[in-house]
Amino acid sequence: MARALHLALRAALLSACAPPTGDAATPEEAARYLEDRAFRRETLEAALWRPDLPYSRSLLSSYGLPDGGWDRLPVQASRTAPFTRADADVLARGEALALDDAREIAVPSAPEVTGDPAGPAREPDPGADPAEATWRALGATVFDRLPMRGDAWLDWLAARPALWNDAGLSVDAVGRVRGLVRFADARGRVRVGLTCAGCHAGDGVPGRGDRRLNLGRARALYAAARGLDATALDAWGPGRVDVTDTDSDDPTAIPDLFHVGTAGWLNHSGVVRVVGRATLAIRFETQFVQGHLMQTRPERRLMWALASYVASLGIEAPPAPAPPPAFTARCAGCHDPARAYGGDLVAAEDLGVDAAVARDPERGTGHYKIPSLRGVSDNAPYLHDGAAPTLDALLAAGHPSGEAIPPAERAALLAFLNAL
Amino acid sequence: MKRLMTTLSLALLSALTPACIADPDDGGATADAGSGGTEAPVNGAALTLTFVSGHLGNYWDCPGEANGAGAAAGAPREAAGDAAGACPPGEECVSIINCEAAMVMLEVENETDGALSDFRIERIVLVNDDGTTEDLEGLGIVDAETQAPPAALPAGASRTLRVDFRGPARDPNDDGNRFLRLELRAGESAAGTLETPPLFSLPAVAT
Repeated sequence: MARALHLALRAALLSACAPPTGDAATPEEAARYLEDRAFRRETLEAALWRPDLPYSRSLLSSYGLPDGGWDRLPVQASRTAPFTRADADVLARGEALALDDAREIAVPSAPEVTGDPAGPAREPDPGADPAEATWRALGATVFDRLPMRGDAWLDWLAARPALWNDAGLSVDAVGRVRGLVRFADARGRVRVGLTCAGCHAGDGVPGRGDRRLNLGRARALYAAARGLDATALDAWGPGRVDVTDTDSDDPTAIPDLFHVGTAGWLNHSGVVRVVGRATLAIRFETQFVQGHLMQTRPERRLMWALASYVASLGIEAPPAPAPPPAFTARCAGCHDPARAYGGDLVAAEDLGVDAAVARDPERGTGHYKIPSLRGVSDNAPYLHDGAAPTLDALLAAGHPSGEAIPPAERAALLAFLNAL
Repeated sequence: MKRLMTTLSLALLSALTPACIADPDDGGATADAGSGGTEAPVNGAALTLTFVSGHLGNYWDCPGEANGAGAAAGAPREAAGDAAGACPPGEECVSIINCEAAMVMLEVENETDGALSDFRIERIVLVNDDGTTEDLEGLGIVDAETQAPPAALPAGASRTLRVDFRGPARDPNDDGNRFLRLELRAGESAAGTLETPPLFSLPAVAT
């Protein structure tokens, strides 16, 4: 119990430093993100854990510069179409993909989406915010249709449907592959792109990390076809990915995106602090630029919409049941009920887990993010690397400290978590 | 402490280097590596270059493609997009998984009195974190919008170009303290130089 108090105290100290989060945003924040370069730069600088980390430096060197930088990249066209089984046949015949049936992602007019008081009349319902609803609806489309990256292995895999199941790709009833779209890259070539939904819509639920998607296997298959030994990639396993370029293989679970607005931090190691919704938008924007070989940038309104949508994921969950005393005593210090049962960061050495990701030289902070527990029973496996297959196993191991939890308390905790 | 000293050294180097390399006869304008600034024209004919984006490539799975690694001579393979891009229709894809040629995108403004054409790379120099330099091989210049060789640029106009080059071999300990000095020429004598902000290898998983 003393260990739990120690952890709670450390989490509270971090929490005290945490600024406002991204679960709510004002029209003014939207306008500043869209129109004010200096604001974007300040937001990025405030969000990064340490400016000297290579991850931070790679963004600070090019984003929001007073002159030049990524602001001057051409805007990537948002004209896309779903990638289907029929498209795979096109590729298999050695033909080029087409975009004849593609559609632009339509962006509503500026007053409508910025919430300008001088814009269209608001709905009479005082509980509804038309601008926010518009942003979220647009963001849902972006989540499903905008390619966040293109990859050689993806083009290769797309042409080989026999391997899709092995790679964990899902095909719906009309033959659309979830998360894949056709788009024209910076050089005008029609390629296959991966959308947010490709990794973060497991079981078709937007926001849920895809536990079936086997990115390591997909890349390993491609590499093997080129005569490269990619057993390390294959060892990632489904639902996991190594996001760093260091020599060690440190795959982490593809994260859920629920409650990211209240989470306070992004990335398993918390290298990005959520200082407002603009943080999310900038995170997506920079991710997009890197995913497109730094040759195009996204339309910024689409990024604000995506941030608005992602910040809304999970927030309409039904009220949580009252936590049992064991939760309040053991867990609430980190998993704060007032923050969707999530929290800030916890020092890696305070957890009985592999600390390699927390200490990664590119983006390690020495900490791990404390995730939200809402809907946790649907989100196995657990911990940053998916090392705990079930909640039962996690608690049996005495999470977080390794201290044994009495059986009666464990049972109460499990019942609560399964209902959360 | 080692990192701190390195950082301090680099800060000092960044502050001093432009002053050291600027030739007083050239007008003495200097570059700001931290903001992608530009330098004074060479030979008095002005191409103003502004940094847009860039990376040092990704040669994880094709180390032989990196600069100085004995890459095949002759016509350079098409850079960036084709290294890890879509396979041409009807052809077996020859790209491999983490293999992207390095590139810099820059905005070029013609400050001369006439139109300029025949854009070419004069020199690309990588400045390492210890101050040593390495000449890199340029692979080509295209208009970033059309992907074609740059058309004539009228006086006073500007355009974004992409310069492809053979990047340095992968450095697993790269902490982002390398940058480029790039000299571009056009027409008879117009020239401009650019000192980039710190550049990084292209991440294999950009997320």
